Amino acid sequence: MSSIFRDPAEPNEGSFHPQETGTLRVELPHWAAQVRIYDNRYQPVAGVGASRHRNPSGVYETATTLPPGIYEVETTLEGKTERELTAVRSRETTLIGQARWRKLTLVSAAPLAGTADAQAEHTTPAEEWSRQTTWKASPGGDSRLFLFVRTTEPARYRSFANGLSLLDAAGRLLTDFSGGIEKDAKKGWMAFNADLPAGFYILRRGTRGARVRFQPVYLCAGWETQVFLAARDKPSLRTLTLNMARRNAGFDSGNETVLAAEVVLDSLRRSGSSLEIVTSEQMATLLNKKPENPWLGMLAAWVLLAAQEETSVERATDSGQKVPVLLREVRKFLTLESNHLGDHPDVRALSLREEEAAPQPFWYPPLLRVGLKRVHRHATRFAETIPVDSLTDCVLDSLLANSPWTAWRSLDRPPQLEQNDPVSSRGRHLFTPHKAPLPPASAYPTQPADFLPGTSPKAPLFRLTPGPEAGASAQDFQSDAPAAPNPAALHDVPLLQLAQTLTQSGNLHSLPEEVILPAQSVTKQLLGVEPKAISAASGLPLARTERGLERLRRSWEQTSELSVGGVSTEAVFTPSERIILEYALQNSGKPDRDRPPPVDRSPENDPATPFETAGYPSLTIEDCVTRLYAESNRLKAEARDVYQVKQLQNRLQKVADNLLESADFIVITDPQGRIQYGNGAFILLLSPSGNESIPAQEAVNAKAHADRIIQENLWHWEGIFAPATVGHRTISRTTARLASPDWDLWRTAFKPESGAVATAYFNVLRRKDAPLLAPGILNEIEPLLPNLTLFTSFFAHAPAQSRGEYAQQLESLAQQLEEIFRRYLAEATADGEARNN
Amino acid sequence: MAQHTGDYAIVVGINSYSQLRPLRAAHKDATEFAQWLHSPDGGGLPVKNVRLILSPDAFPADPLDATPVQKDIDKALRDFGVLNNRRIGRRLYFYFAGHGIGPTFDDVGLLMAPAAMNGLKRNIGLRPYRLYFHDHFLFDELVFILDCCRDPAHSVETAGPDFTIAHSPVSPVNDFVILAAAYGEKAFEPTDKVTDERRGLLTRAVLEGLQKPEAADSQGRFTAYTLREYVKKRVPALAKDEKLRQEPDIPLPEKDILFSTLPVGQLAKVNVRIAVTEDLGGSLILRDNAMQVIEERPAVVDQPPWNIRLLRNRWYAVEHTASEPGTPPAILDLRNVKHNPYVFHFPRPG
Repeated sequence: MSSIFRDPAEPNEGSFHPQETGTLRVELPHWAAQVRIYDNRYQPVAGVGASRHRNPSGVYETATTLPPGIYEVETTLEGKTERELTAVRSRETTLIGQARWRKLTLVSAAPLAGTADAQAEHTTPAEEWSRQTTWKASPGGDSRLFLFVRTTEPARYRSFANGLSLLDAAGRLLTDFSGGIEKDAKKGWMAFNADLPAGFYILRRGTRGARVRFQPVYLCAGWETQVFLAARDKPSLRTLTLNMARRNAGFDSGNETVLAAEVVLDSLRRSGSSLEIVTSEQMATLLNKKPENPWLGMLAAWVLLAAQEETSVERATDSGQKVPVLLREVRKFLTLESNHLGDHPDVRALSLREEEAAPQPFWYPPLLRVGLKRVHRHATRFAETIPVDSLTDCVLDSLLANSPWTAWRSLDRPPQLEQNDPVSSRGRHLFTPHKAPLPPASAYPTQPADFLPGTSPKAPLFRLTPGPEAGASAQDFQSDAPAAPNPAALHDVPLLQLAQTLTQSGNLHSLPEEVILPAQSVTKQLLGVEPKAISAASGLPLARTERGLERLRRSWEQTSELSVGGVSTEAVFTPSERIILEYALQNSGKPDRDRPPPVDRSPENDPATPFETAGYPSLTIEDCVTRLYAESNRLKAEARDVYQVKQLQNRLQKVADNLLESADFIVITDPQGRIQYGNGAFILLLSPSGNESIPAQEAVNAKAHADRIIQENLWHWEGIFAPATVGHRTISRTTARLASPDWDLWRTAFKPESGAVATAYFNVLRRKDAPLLAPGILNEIEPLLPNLTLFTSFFAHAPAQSRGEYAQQLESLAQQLEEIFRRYLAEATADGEARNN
Repeated sequence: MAQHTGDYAIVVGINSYSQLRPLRAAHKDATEFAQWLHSPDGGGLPVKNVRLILSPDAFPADPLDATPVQKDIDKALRDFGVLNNRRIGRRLYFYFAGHGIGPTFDDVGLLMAPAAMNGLKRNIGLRPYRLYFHDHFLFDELVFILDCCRDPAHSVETAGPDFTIAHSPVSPVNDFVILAAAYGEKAFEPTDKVTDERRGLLTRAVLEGLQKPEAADSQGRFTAYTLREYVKKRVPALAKDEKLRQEPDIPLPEKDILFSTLPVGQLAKVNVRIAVTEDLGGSLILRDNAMQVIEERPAVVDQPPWNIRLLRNRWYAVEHTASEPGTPPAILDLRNVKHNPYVFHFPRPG
């Protein structure tokens, strides 16, 4: 049947003459808006928007010369985007007017011209009261603070300005804005203007229904700082907008530098990049007017600094090339002595150099979080950067992360003031918690919760001792609760370290009967760790790390090392110090195999195929067995009723069982036979078999079931390792109990230097009929495993009619796995027979 | 038949988190993406170049033993030859479906199976891995598709590869990153009404964008730009159907990447009727996206119907010869039209 719709003979794309071009002019909602033009293949047209100029109507626009065609124009401002399709004709100009971008408006807490909710009712009083003092009783000083709070819905939010107060650096109340202000509740604004001494201040917001929040403000001599807050039922510190101007200059709602600062701040607020804006011509012009608004310079410097520290991803761009020059210029201005901006914590943070100590310590944090982050990073290398217990130090543990500002709700300890600070030791500051401090939910990694056992070596925390009297049990390591380091476990570290070394040595069956443990003390171990390394790993300021180590040293000296096990961790260690302990544990117990081997780059060792792994250790037996069980279970879960699949599943499990039987099982027991450590193969041996493994959807009950099986198996094995008491003597019967046709046992007693009695036993168990060829088997199995996962999953998710193809692939893989095993087993048997003959 | 032996892929799907809420769709999504990679009409990768890494359906006794973990991903990279520290191939696909966090605007922490609310460091990071590949020039192109949330987690550091090999001279690496949600936002896996199965919205849109004829460009090519265009519109639409809100974050790649090409006969077309609603005088000219004339008809009502089959993904302009000079032509954009045949009225209302 013929269609009434005809296929036209469409011309080939791009068949135009190069000289035939048109012009596309795009008027922008603001100079900071980004413009992209796409062709019909959705490819962006290069070079669009790089140059923008003001047209006679005062609107910024871009003009682009394009081949005739249809294009899509995309304009973005403050994270909002609009698109428009338009045609460009040869030798003609097409214009997209500003009115097209209706939704693209700027939003600011300051009543700035050109922003979405600026209104004369706010602009006029803000300009007026920024030039007049409202707080007649102010202490006076060489700096000025102007605060303007406003709401666009005054009828609805009558208490929009309530709950604010201004604190000094010590946290003492200066004013709660109940007086010394100008306010028009009907129009929804409140203004405060006062001369104050230059320095660090804190805005506090705390009112019924709103959680307390503190946010710092810094006043520089000779400058006024203008702070704007948007409000609804309460002032929002999160949306705070700040501006700096020469003292007595006042607020100018038409000042483009303020609006530009707002655009950059908004990008920080949205955690986006504004490099393109900061490096634009318009910004360069504004930055040249530095004396007008150094705050814009600070914001721009942060963006530039971030870009400079950015690695190769951004390096090649045009904007990236302008960065070093601009940054040098801005920094130069900010640190110029005559500007009196050098004391500003954000300027000082900007001036920090990676490899040099800070000229002055940071008793108070920068206003911007990005600045605090830089100071924090510096403090992990230089102890002087953040003094212990300074406000900066305390804020690190309690930082709020929902704005670009440094802000907090409460501190877990009272901060100490700078020693020369005249306000120190006067009065009670408002940000001290009333109750004994508990570690708060911190935005910084100073909680032990970040150091769960998974990040530390497993062995010290994998204590399998069963029974009610025996401390940690199998259930303990299911807990979500943070695992506080157990000082008792520290005693095991040298032993476990040794055990791990032995495990990797591959020479497990020729160990001596006795090993004398080195008298390596935990204290020595901890004190042997470089504090800078601890700070770098934990993020703790170096000063705190050093103090923590000192406290640890004193604590151990007082209690003596041997009694550490009896000392409560809570009493001895602060959360920070617990991190230090964890770090020491992690490093002392870290197995060598986690360290990548050196790569041999000689041509003869350069593998011909990418799949050779330059000598990196292959999968362990445990990994391999787990993978085989996992794929077997996946088949079982997906196709219970398919006979062929069940067969495949059983065959995979058999391969896994056989492989497991060839493993060495390593168990460390104490003298009483209680198991302190089991290697991966031993844990698998204790666990339910692949057949009984636990489906995720039945996790709760199944987990209890699995734990019970592990526990029962554990007791069985501890029965074997337990010594027997005969009269006054205790004898080990382990060898006798294992003297069965099933097992070989190699046993080494660990003895301390000081005593003749063994403190632990290192047992290596191996099935007598295990083929001693596991590495060879693993090497051959390993390349098959990825395909097994791929086809198992393809099979599991394929529609029934197309499963056959994948089933065939799986069948072939199962055959290959079995063949590998058969071959090695046959070789092992032949070797055995040859030896016997 | 596989076509691209120089392309490699690591595809990770984690349904079972030992200490976080389980997911339902990650395995299926990862598997389907792996199938596309393996398909000769899709990515065209040989089986040996695809590593599919899934969480086992059963939990281990110790939650911290749950897999996969970073080691598994790094092992796959080692298998591909990263330790040789020289160019491995043309392209690396890295796909992830699972839980994720957003430490910064340009980073995503992909949570591994043992991750917990107080153990978010068990992740691998988009940023460190991306930078690693940029610094070492192991592949010419990188394609990251991450179907996971980006809940803000400002203090959590993301983990990079554990390899410590010497930096190579920096060569330009073109990368294309598709993130399921904007910074700080969530990604969803609602139940598909047709199949009654849970599916990640991003993966669904990505697989459509890589296969549906209407997602190709006007030359039938599935490219990074076409995929970006399709997914950016499709994910919010799919989310809206489920009364959800999800907007993917897909930065514009520096250069285009070609994934596959449709045979010309399979290009999506729409039956269009251009209907003149009043006698306008002059004529109407239908032009293609390069403003080349396709057809011209008198702009009068009582003409035989102007029926024509047009490519869905090519833009067209309808120009009226008698309109005032400078009047922009009407644009005919068929990408989102639902009716077929579609009636395009001229002059345009409003």
